[in-house]
Amino acid sequence: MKKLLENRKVIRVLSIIPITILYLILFYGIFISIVRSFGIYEAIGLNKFTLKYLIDIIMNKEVQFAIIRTFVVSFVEALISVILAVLISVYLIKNDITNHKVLYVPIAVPHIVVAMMMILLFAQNGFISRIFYHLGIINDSQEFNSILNDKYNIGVIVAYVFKGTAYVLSVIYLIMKKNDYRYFEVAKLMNVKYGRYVRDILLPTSMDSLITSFLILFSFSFGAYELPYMIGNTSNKLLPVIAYEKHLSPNLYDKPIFLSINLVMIVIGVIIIVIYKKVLDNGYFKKQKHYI
Amino acid sequence: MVTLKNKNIIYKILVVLVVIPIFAIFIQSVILRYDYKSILPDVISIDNFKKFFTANYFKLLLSSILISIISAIITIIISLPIANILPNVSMNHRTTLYVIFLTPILVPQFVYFYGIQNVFAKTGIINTHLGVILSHVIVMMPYAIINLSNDIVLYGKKYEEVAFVMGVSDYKLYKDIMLPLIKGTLINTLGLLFIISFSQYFITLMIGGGVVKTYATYIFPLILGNDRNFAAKATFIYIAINIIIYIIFVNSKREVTDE
Amino acid sequence: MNSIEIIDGKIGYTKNEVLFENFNLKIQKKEFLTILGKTGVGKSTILRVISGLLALQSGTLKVSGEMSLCFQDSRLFPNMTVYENIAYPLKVKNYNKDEIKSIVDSLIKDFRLENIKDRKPNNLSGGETKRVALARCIATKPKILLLDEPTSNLDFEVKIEVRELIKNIHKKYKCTTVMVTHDIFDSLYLSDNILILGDKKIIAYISNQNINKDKNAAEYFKPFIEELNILKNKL
Repeated sequence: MKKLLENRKVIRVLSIIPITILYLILFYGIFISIVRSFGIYEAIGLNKFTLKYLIDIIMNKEVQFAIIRTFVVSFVEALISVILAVLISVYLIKNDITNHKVLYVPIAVPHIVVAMMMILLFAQNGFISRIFYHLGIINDSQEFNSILNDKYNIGVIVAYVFKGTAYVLSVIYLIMKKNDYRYFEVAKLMNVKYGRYVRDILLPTSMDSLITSFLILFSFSFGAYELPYMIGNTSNKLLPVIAYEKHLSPNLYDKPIFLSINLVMIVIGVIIIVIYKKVLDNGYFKKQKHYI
Repeated sequence: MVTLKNKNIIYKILVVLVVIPIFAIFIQSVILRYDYKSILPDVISIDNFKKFFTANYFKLLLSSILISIISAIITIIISLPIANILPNVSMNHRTTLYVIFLTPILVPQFVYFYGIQNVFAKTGIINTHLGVILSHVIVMMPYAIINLSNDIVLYGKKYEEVAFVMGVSDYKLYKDIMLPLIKGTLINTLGLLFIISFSQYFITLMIGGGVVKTYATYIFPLILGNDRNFAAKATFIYIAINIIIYIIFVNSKREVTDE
Repeated sequence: MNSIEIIDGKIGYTKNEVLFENFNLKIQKKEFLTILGKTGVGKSTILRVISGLLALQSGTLKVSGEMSLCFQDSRLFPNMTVYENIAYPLKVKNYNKDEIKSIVDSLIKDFRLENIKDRKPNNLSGGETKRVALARCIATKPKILLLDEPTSNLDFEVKIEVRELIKNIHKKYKCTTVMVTHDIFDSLYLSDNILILGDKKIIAYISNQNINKDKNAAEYFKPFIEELNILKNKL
């Protein structure tokens, strides 16, 4: 027995058991989630495979609009975050500002706290509103067009961008800097103008990380409940909010809607995984030493 | 003409944009009454903070911190072996493996929380501290694996082979060579994981079911409530802890070697 | 007629670390100069000064004509194919499509890159990478060619091949060539003149033919000659 334990390979295998168990739990959880959405729900007696929930999505206008709304919000916030992060990163590299760690602080701010910040700043009686009043731009707090709980969920987007930009920046700055160190001199000697250098060389070599960061941001905001619940539109809610409400609802008829939304989330998850894998396979991943 | 002052002005603006919201919370936490039409606040008080710190509050805060510390440590301990093995996996399989590891980040949280809630309910660990800790670990695993394997891939195989040839056991290899090398990353990752766990609201709610309370679940209804000052006080402490951890752990110098 | 001139140059990366002071160098047009010296003495730094990547702390730099530098680690753009890499400097200078095609095609032929012209750099061997880097360097027919350790880290056979390529480039394009190397054979085979750098000074600047006539140069080459003799006796 002792000999067995001394065997390197055995120890290695044993040591990865705990994490494997957790991943198995994770995948089993996903499996159950998928299975339920196709109608197999042992506990309440349903055990036939059905596409009912899939059809419900196609039929249910409320859910359809919610899907589009959520998709747009997530897409826009992820896109803006990535674009801003690229602009800031290029700016920091060009001007050689290496000590900019304070820009990463939003990563340490939880989403519900970002919601609080939004409320403090953008509520009708919030700080910005007061500044507008004292500057004479508005005459009363009621006149302030708050971006909280607004029609287009602008507040939600701003909140996500606050954190998202910092996150993407933390990822791509290092990569861009590394690439810049190698290729900037080459481009400079070729008399390439800086803008062209960024477009032809710096940006394409960072593209993999940009895409993967985008996917991660998109996935998170698509499925996250906290922010849209707190500062999102209350009459036209986003998908995670609707889903959670239906999930908690004692009304039996709400369960199918919940499961339909669950199906949508699963589909989005699958799409993201496929794209992510494609990026990894085609990219510099295989020669890279750093994984992101 | 580009003067030194102009050169960094965009940077200064960015810093201000980051700092203002945090500052706003601090300001709100000391303002007790602030009429809309006045320029300056009516009542400011720092004293009120003292009333804030009841015994129950500290109990909650400390248990919350403890849960996050434990979750972070467990995550790192179970993730290290995988991070070690990753460099030994052939390139062809690595991408697939990688995608599997990153599933919690790539798939919308909702999907697997729902499923995990079921599994935990069936095994009876739902509504327990263990359940909450495990659920946090599940969320944090990918981050730990990414951070640790990035570093280990740089040195791992190299020193492993040296140790093998020298007849050094795995344990010694770890203690004397690997751990000192990845110490920086370990501390970094520990801080990052703590922040992630400490910030979790939704999953704590789903798995903890209101029975297991963390600081996040305590703050949530406060933020949506009417007493902004009280909420701001609680939130300010929340942020302060996260930012302090961030400064100490995540910003500490990492050893990055280029090969 | 001088192609490159450094007059009374103070060369260093920081104010405190000065590699050379009162550095004087004159390189003629179409001359092939090799810079030799121990590692760390500042050979590559001289190239950086000539190319403009590193400014002189004091003194004057005169350069006549367009320059091109081939880096030691090649630095091919990973997002472009071999063809696109070679074409890029031409594209940047707004050559028209047909010109680019004809120049790049002929370079691909000269450097024997037909089989790999559509590959991305991360799929190339060391020798292939070097050849592409050289081709990219010479694409705009620069008047001055700077080479930073072009044959280091290459297999012996590949080294010979690259050496020949450099010789042919110099003959065909008649550019002033400055090559940094620590390979003695490269310098003896390829260059007209040799500049030997030492710690904070120039040990010698002599023509290839006159190595024995210069005391310092002969001193520098002595260990290599001794090694050669040992090898000669063994083989």
